[in-house]
Amino acid sequence: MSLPEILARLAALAVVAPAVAFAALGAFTLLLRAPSERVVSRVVLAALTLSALSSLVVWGCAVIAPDAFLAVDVGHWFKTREYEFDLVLLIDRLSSTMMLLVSLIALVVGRFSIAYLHREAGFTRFFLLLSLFATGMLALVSAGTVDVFFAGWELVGVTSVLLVAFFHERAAPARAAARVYVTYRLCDIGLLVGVVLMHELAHSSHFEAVLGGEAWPGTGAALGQGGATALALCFLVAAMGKSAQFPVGSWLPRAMEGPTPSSALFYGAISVHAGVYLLLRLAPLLQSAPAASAVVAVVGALTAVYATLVGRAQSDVKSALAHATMSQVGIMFIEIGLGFYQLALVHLFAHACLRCLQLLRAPSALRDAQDIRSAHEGAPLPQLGLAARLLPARLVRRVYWLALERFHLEALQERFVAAPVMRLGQRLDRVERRLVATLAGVGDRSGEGGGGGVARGALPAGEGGEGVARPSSGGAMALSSRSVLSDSRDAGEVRS
Amino acid sequence: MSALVLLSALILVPWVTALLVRRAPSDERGSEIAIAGAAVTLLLAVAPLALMHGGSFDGVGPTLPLVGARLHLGLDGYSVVMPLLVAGMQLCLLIAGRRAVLDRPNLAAVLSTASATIAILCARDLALFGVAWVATLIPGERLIARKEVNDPLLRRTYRLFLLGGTLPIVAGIAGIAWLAAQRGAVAPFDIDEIHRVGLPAASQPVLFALLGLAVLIRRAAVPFHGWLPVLLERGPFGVALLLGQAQVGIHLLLTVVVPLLPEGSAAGMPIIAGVGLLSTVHGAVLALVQTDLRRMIGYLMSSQKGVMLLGIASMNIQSVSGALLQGVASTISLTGLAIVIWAIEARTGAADTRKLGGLVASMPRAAAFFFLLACASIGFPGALTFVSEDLLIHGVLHVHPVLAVIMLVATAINGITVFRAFQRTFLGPAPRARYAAVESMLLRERVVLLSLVALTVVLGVAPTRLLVLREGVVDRVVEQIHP
Repeated sequence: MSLPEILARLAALAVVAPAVAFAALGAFTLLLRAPSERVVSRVVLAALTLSALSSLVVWGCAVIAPDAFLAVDVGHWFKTREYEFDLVLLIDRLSSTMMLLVSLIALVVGRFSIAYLHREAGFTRFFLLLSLFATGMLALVSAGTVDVFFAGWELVGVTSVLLVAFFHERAAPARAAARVYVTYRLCDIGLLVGVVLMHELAHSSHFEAVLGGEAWPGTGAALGQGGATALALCFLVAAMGKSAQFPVGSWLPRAMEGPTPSSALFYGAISVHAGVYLLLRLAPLLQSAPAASAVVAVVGALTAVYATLVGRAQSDVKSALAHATMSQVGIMFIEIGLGFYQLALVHLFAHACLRCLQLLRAPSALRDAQDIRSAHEGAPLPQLGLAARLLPARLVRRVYWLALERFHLEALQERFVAAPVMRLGQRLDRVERRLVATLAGVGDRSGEGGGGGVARGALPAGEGGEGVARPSSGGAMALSSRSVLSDSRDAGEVRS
Repeated sequence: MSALVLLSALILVPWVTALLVRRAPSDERGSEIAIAGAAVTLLLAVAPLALMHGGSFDGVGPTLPLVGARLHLGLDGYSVVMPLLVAGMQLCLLIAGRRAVLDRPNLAAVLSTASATIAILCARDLALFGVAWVATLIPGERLIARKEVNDPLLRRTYRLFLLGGTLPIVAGIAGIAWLAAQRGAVAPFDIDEIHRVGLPAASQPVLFALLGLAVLIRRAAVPFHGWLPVLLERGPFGVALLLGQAQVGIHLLLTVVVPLLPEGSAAGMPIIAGVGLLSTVHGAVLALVQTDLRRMIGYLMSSQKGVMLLGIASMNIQSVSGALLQGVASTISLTGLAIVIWAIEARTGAADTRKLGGLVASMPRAAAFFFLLACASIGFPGALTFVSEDLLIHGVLHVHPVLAVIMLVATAINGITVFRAFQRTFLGPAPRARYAAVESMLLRERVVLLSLVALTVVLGVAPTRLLVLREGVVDRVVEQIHP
């Protein structure tokens, strides 16, 4: 067996091992009962250890051969006469580094969570989602085609949303999860359009074919400037969503509703960097699209400024860390926009490790603060804020107020994105109900959902609520359009 | 065993079972008979897959004198899977259905509807096709017309859209048979015979309009979609699902319209594509604002059916393959989703998300199944819909990138819809702890739902055999429009 084949199998093993753990534990839980904490944690950690070891070997090989750009075809998922969905893994410095980072941090967070979530009602759920996340993220970073990348991207998104809603008995995490999901879903349109464009422009979904096949970061894509710019901008939309960039990043502080280990894993270490990884992977494309690179840098700069200002007005540690993460990721976007790809990768690796540690220690933040104060032995802490001393007080007050309100970004999104769609839907629904009722000759009342005496299921009144005469629940959603995206911000509900 | 005998048995077993169920001494006994009959139907539906050679499984019986109708049954690479799907749906509904809800008339209606649907899928003679088309609607009509069901909107909507919607197909079939007889066809209703003699190009647009109208009504395409949300919200659940999910409209399009009316199809497909796209977006937006889970499923189905119409009308190998696969994929996932909703409603007496919430505490497995099947219905990686949507997008892209982008937006909205439904039904605090003592899912419900999840995942991970099985039909259909 040749070295590329061995590497391909190891990379595939790294992706598949957590998936097998997820499938086995998930089927057992759904059909019979939840296994014990010991069984769940051992199975998942064994799979993650296998992933980490495989990733380590792959990374070692990439370090030995730094110029390697190895696209390994492990078969095809499906094919028709004119189309094949190839399963291609890409092994180079970038992907192997990310594989190592992902698998190691997933393992560390998994180990940490055994004690942290002990006797928590959602222990099994957390570990199932951890293994599914590891599968998705490893597939994402090792993808050799944009189609495989998309599959991993979606897995990461859905596990992220489910972990935000981990404490489902409270309303705030559920609403926060909905917000995260809506943002992901809308921004993913950029990724999908990018996939479609890539097929249209390059007639291939293989990164190797589109990006030139040179060792990362390459020298340019095999596309014209116009095509490269359009493609890069589409992928930028997706990256902005996943990496919480301005103006769609308001979901990140909300996502801190999840348990601390998931916050550390997703929004400190790994998931939030998926957009950065996407842009790093597309470095050759960005080199061929200077306009798109400039947009990347501008988005990053705006995010860094916004997140810094808002972060300084936060009163809870997880929100402050979320905004700090946004601002650092914004700086990574700037680095990518300016063409410092290696620097951005180093920044990503270091930031992921540091932020993961900070978030895992977030529950001890108060104690840390007390330790720092006691270390100063009652002496006042140094004033770090420079702006307050240099800028006019009125301006500082205005910016502070805006920062507290998070620059009204959410309200604007709700007013100009969510509300029009919901209003359209509600109007259509009303028109349609009236129309159907009129056509059926029963007047408006039944069509509007006031059809009292409607037997649900056309059944005799009986058990279980079915067949019980009840008014139709119909009616367009009586909730305001705010309900698609909105969430009453309540810092007190943020679990830290 | 000859194809004719096997396919006749496949059609008759559920019908005979329905008769036995009606005569059963109790609902419980009726349920046992129905499940046994549905299981036998499923086994019979597997047989053509094993016995099919050369892409077809065909048998010809006697001809009806004077009329010229012939007992001609057959399956091809596309339709061979469909009876299996209908039989599977039927078995799932009967096993997972609430016993108290599925009384004998309901059980018999489910079985009779499935029998007529399978007859449509097997018919190679237009007379039988038309009779079976009308017959699929009779059990539902009788059920809705029962004295204890006092719902004029449901009854009249059903009659207006579904029973009224049979007129175009009856007229179309009569017209085709008359023209075929004029051209010297020995059996003027036989699809193969009509194909042999051909139909005059001048009359094809009219015939296409009639049959296309029948397709659009059964596919619940805008503006003929009004029946689907009403039926799913207020109608008998099993029959409503069978009528909503059985892909008889697509079958009519592929088996009758495209082969017999190639010129008419070439001219009319852009209209079908436009209607499909409109239905996709319309269904997605309307589903987003629903609070009733059953009505929401109705609009989701309408949106998915629109995607399929768009795929078929795009008429290239990828889009047609994707559309046919989407038919299977959405049937599996939306049936499962509907079963979960059914289970929730049976326990809480509500399917309105404004009255629900926090159910994950009392029904954790229902929440897991809902989420998995919701993901499976919106093209999540690993599910069969991921494969079908991938093919559809690439196929539609060849026609026009803007169509593909609009389709993607609609798909994204559908994703938001199902997640919001999940959030409002299962997450958050339970309203006044109303559902704290709700019964957990039964083992038979879990087995059915896990089977559906496993099926969509297995087919999603390894869809190649299913695609290869349909390759011949896809090639033929595309060739007939673009020779």
